[in-house]
Amino acid sequence: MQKIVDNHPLKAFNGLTLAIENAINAFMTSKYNPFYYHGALPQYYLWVLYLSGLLLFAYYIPTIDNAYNSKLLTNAWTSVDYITKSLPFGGVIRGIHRYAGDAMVITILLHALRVWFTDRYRQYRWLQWVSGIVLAIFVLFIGQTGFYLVWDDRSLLLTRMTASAFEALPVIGPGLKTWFLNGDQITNLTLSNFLFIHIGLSFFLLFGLWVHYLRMTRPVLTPPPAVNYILTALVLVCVFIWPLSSGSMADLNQQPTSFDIDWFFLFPYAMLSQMPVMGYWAVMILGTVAITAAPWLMIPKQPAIETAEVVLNKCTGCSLCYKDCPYQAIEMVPAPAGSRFKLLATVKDFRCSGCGVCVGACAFDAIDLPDLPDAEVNAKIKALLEAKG
Amino acid sequence: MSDAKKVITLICERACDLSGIVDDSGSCTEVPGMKVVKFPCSGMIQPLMIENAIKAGADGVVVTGCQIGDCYYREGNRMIRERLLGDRPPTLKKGTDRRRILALWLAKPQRQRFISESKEFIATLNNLAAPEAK
Amino acid sequence: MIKYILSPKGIILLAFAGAVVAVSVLMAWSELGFTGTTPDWLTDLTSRIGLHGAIAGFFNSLTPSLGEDLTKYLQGKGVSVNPKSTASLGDYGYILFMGVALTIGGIAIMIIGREDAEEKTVLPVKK
Repeated sequence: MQKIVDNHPLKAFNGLTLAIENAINAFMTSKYNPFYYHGALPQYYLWVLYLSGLLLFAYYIPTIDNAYNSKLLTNAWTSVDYITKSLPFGGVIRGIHRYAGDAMVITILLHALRVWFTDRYRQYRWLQWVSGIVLAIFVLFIGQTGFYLVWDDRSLLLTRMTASAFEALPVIGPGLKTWFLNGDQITNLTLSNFLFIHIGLSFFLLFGLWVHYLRMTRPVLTPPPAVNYILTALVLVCVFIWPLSSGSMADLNQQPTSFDIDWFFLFPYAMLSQMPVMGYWAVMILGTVAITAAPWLMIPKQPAIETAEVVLNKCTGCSLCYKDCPYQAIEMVPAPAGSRFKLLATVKDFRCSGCGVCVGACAFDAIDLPDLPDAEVNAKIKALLEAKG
Repeated sequence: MSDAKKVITLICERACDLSGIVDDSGSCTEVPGMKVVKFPCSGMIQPLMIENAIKAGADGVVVTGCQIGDCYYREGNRMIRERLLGDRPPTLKKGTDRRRILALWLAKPQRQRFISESKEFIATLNNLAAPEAK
Repeated sequence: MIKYILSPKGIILLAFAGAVVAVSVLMAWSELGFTGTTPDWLTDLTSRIGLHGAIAGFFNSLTPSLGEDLTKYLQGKGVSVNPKSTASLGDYGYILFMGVALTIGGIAIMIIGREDAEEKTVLPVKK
């Protein structure tokens, strides 16, 4: 009944992960070990981003009007400049928004690596893995649009790189470019579109998270307050240590050639600048497909899951297993006619992990793992105790 | 009554790693009198199994799961902990001698902790009066 | 209650609480741009307990030392604020001390709360 998959290629990393967590447990205890809340960490930063973004949104103006380097004009760059330099705590809020975004990418990476290393991403968890990849791509794209919104020379260069990369794609390319720039060239409407993408897609993340949490009974959504304090403090201290400043205002008549790179969000642009555009798309698309397919590709021969089975004549319809199942794999259906009870538990095999929590929840021996029935367990316990020695 | 106390541990196969110190008959070579029964997850352990073990002559039962927060199947160790503490049905029966039950939440590398805690547990069992049934 | 305060945990709790309050006071000092002026709420509060002179003196003494250092660091990092606005370099100091206070608070809670999260559960004997 051994259920641990031994041919997992990342077995060594599993040991490493457990060793690191064990070391953290030694002085933080499991209650405050951030690794045990790895999914809730990016979720916490998402709330920080929503709140700080709301404050920035109140003062942001999405236009490129009269970008002749005059600081007396009202446009995206001057509004960001106003937020940073004139608004009380504006520069600080902007810094929080930036570094919370970076922190979210780091924690997402941590989350993904942990579920991968500890082998918690395949079979009955495929929906979580695939929706997680989609969410991560959206987070990256939302973050990148945030870099366009500042509208300094870096924003201009990134916008032009993105537009030409889109344009190079066959069939859908020109349409994508027109959608991205909200027209054929960079205008005021372009920045409105960026703002819409930045904020609109952020709310789409909530929909994506709903899918991500489907089939998860009682998902862990928040770390304990003490961990939240430390997470917040990390961002705040970064805001002080590396305060933000914009580059010079974008000038459509100039072509900036280099920029500082934020490795958490802008690494695709570093790749794009180093390779031909079709090569870039090939790497990106194939890489994404490969990572998305990891639950099926990583382990060639995945053992079938021995799903739980309800013993029909014993089930009393008490719903205890239904409440305790961590994957919402048990559904209570009306009992067949002639039964003494109103409800009957049924197992949705495609969701079941074969963990046996339902067996532990059942006081009537009415649900069993076929490879380890509880009668067998009890017999084994008895035999062991009666044995000599 | 034999000298060594008979203790059975119901353990999650992903919790602290006992491979190498458990022989084919299910006895733990490091802790005298310790028998080992493996489960895919500590959440599968029924309070009834613990009661049966005590009824069948075990002097003590050690429930071992992974670190709280680190269940491979998400919540199994929390479930059995709540059941043992009486906060989640099904719970232990009223008459069960709770001094004979210990729960440990140990990660894979924590074998030494398991051995020392079980030895300590057996020492406390020695101080308890024999079960009335005997 | 008194017994708890005098226990090792209570003493840790008091020490950390004191540290959090001290750093929080620095937040108030930062908020006004590292100058010696105390915010009105603090002036009012400290006057009532007759400590205003001491606090104001303490704040004034920080301005040429810590205030100077923080200003120099931030200016070196290219931070500038519009002198005609109400924004100030002190905003960044405020956020730094807030971060430090949150860290101290978080660590304190972890020390106090860790007893509940043990690797072992002994069942309470009901009688």
